[in-house]
Amino acid sequence: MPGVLSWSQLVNPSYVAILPHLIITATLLVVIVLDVYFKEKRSLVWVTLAGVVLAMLSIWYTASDPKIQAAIAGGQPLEFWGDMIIADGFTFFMNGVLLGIAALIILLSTDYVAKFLRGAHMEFYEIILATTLGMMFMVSSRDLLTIYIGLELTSISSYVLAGVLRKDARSNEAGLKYFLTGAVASAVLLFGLSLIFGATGTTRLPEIAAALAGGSHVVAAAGPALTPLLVAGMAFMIVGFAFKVAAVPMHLWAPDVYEGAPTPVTAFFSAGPKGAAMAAILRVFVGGLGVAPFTDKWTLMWAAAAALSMTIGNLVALQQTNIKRMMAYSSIAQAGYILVGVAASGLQTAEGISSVLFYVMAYAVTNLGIFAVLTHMDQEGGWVDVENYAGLAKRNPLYAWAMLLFFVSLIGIPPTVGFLGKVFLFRAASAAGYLWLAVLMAVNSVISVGYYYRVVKVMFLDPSDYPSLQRSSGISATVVLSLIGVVAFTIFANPFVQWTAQSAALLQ
Amino acid sequence: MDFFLNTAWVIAALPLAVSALIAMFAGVLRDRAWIPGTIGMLITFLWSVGVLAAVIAQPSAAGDVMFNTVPAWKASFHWADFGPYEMHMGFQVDNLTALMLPMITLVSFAVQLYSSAYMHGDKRIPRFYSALNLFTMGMLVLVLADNLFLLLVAWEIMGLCSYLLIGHWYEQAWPRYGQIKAFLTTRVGDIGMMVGIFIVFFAARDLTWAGLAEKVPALVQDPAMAGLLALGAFLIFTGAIGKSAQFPLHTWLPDAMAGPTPGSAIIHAATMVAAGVYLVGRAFMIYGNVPAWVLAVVAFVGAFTSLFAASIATLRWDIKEVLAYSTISQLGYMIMAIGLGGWTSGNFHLLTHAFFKALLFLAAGSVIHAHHHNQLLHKMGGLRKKIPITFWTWMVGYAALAGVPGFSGFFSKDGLLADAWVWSNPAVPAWALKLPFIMALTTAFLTAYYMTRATYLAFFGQPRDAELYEQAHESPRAMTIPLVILAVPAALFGWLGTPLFHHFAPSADWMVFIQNFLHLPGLDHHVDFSTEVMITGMATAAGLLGIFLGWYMYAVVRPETRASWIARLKPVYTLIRNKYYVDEFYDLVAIRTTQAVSRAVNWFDINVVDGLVNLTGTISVYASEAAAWFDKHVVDALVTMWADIARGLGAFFRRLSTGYVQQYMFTFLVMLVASVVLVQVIR
Repeated sequence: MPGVLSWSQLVNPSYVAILPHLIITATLLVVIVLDVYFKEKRSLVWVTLAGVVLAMLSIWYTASDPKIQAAIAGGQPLEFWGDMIIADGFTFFMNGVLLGIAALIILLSTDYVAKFLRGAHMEFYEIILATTLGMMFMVSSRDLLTIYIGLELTSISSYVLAGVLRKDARSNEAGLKYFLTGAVASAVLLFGLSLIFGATGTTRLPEIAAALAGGSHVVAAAGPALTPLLVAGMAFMIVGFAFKVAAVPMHLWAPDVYEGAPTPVTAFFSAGPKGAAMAAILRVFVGGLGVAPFTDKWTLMWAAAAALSMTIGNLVALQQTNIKRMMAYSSIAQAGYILVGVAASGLQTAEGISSVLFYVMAYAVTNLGIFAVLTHMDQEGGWVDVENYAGLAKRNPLYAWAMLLFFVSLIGIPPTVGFLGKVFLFRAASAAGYLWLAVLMAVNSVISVGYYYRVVKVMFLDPSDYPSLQRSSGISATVVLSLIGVVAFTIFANPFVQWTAQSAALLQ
Repeated sequence: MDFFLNTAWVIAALPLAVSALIAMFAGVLRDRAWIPGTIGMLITFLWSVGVLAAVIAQPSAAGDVMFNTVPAWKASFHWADFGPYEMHMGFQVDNLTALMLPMITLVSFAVQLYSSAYMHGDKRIPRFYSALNLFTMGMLVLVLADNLFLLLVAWEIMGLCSYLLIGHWYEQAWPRYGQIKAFLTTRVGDIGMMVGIFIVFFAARDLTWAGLAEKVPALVQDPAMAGLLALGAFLIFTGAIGKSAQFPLHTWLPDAMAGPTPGSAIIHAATMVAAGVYLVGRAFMIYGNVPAWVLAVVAFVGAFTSLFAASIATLRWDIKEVLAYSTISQLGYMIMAIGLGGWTSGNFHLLTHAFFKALLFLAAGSVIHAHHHNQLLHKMGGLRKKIPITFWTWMVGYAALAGVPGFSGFFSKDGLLADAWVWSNPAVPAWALKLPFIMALTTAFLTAYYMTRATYLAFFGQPRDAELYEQAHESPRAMTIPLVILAVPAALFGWLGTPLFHHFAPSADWMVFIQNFLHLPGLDHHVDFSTEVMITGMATAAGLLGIFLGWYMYAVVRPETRASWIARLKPVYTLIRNKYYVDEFYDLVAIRTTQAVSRAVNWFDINVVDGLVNLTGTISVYASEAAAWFDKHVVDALVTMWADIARGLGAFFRRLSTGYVQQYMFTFLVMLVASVVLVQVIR
């Protein structure tokens, strides 16, 4: 309409770019204030959920801003706030996935929190929101500082979440262990970042890449050569990030923390911070260190980490009787699969990144469905051993059949979303020349059948005298949403494949 | 109008939703399951009529009717890629689909309303309705599908529903036998069909109708490719042989009568069995272009089946079995017509047959209901006074099937006889060109005969079982109303096929629509008027002769005389009475042969092998002891080693997680140093 200013012309695009972040921050503040006045905490949970969903919808608004869109189409996505925040397809996709994870976690934890966290009812959700905010900043920047600050916000909130059951010794132990080891890992990571900063004189990833390639005025000596400073910096960053995604051999904390933390929190850890850290790895290594002599090094390191994580994660999972611990090792193995894509992205950038993004989404939706059932079993009878799942097919057929489908997806059997994700990873790895890694991934899929099948066998074949389960609408809703996700992402895979491909194209 | 066209997917979605709803609330609905089923199907029917009206309203969109390159509406999405192969999934509505939709939904609606009374008191009513609606969904998806793959999916859904409905009373032996037989026999054809679809897919790299219509004519220019596609088309036809119960896979259909009669009416008479005919007609862009021997095979299979089944029907005593063989025979007609290139008359007969055969089945169900579940004709007789509504509606269906002039079957049968008369096919020698016509004419005669026989035995003459006759009563209104509803199209639908209306309203939209069907480019055989009159005369004469003979044999000739005639024709009578021993032949080939072979192998085993075994036994004992040692200490050890390694590695790595943070930190430090070294060292 001529003569009428449109809304997007009135608002400073800087605010449009961080609209989802702002909405989450606002929700967090509102919930903290309302928490003081409200006795009925359950209704506040819906406020939290509404905020997260609103933030998710606002991504669409951000993405359809004409200026931002034009810049993306031109191949030069805009950066805001002193080049601290970038508005590109990668940011939008990962923010969408992370907010989706947060929404499902809020939904599946309603009954658990009401039962076990009477004193700290809303604190749980406030910390979930804070963690989500940290993850969102972690994936929406091309600056090492913002990425690190986002990561720290995520980590510190996670320590609190792990120990949120204050009267439970195992939860305390998990929180403390996570804090002690995590703090060391953060320090190492920060040290690595500062070494890179020292060598190149900048924290902006594109400038780091330019400096390493020898095109920067800041560091005359850098050039495409491996100085000891850069070697140490890269190694420290690899170790630090490997800790954050619980890749073998930096995985030792994960089983203890996953087992000790409250089950909804374990669900959150297995999907959210892990996915965000994967995205940060892609940003830092592909965007900042994706220069010739360096690429060969870090792809090989990540390939080794991927191989070890897959193999050891799956082998040890075979040994577990506690289902939470089993799923912890399963998630280590799944992180290994994702790292296959990370390693491939060094040499086949677009295919590797899009396969990682697709698998993170597929893995998150599947794993949250499983953890929803785990949460229900935990809150109802403290059932955390595999044998407690005996006769689940009779006690709650929906859960049993849903678990079956989720396991099938995690193994990677068609026609599920996990299969598609593995196909993309496989294709990326073989295109990048890592055929051995792709084959190892296939072998590992077969090993993983062993422990997933044991749960299926217990659920469907073992007799039990357990009572049938009570209703829990939040958890049922999560299971159904995950089911829809697993099926819908398979049938309507194409838009997501296109989307991830577009996101990947803009990263460099 | 366009609203209905653009929402045509609702037609498939609604029955699916209703089916799921009934299955979910089975415990609540119980006997009331017919309410959602019937209401849902009525809405679906009205929706289908809306779609038909919308298609008629835009005759320009009709385009090339036979190859459906320009559907009135289509919606598809990019489903998946397999390397260079792109797969699309979607629905389309073109003229053929638009005509099929109201037929399917009307029959389904009538059947569901009818079942509310017929199935009264049954234990598993929700199961029945759920399967019925799922089945209807399958058939609707089949006609809406815009590609062969989705058609196959719908095809298999119907196979499953057929299995469920035949075995509805699975406590009894016959339904159990019937359901397994139906499923396995059709599977034989389905395997051929799947291989055929693969061949077509890899030859044309496309399975959508529009894509095939575009690519096949170009592909057949290459003789090798034409041969390959001909093989594919033939294999797809084997699927139709199975589903449409053509010789030699027809044996399952009579046993499918073990299910509840309304289920038989919709599945085994009106719609599902017609799917094979629809498939061949729908895929005519393949059949019409590949070498001519494929269509010749189609035509002769159809013609032979129609004659073969009609002759068996003349001696059946079970009223449903007469109708079952009649169905096989009529399906043979349709297959024959399409094989002759009579695309219009084949599909037209499909539509008219659906109405009058569903009507006949439901009327037969009403007779059975009235007669305390007696299905045998020789216990009936004189029922026309007891059950007048059933009688009159049956008579409409009877007249249509027997080809009495003026009823729907007369027109469609006439059309396919005309196609048979003018047939020409380069793959067939000249002397054989008139064979299908002779067979079809004989079938018309036999059809009139056996239908007259069944009608006379059931409704006329003296009651043969006085007790059953006394208790007979007219069925409740829920059963007679569907009969009346179906009697209307069964009587009148055929008039659409006459050129009569053309003289009154040549430019009306619906007339253009029909003319698009009747005069297909390239298939217009142009039968001149005198030939047309001659064929009509021959068909009518054959029909009337059959009716007369049926009446004479059962109304005039005394039973003792009839018995003496039968005695004179004993060999023929026995052969036909035993259905040409096809079942026994399968029994011999598939079962006896296997048993005989296994007996022979057994004999060889005992007399030859055992002797050798005893001879070598002694040697083996010593050898085996050595082998056992080797086995135990080497082979077993190797096998278990891998399992032990996996388990041992797991246990070892598990031991790394001791739970001590100090140790975790130490590991972390070691890894940090190691990775610095590694980054330095690796290439």
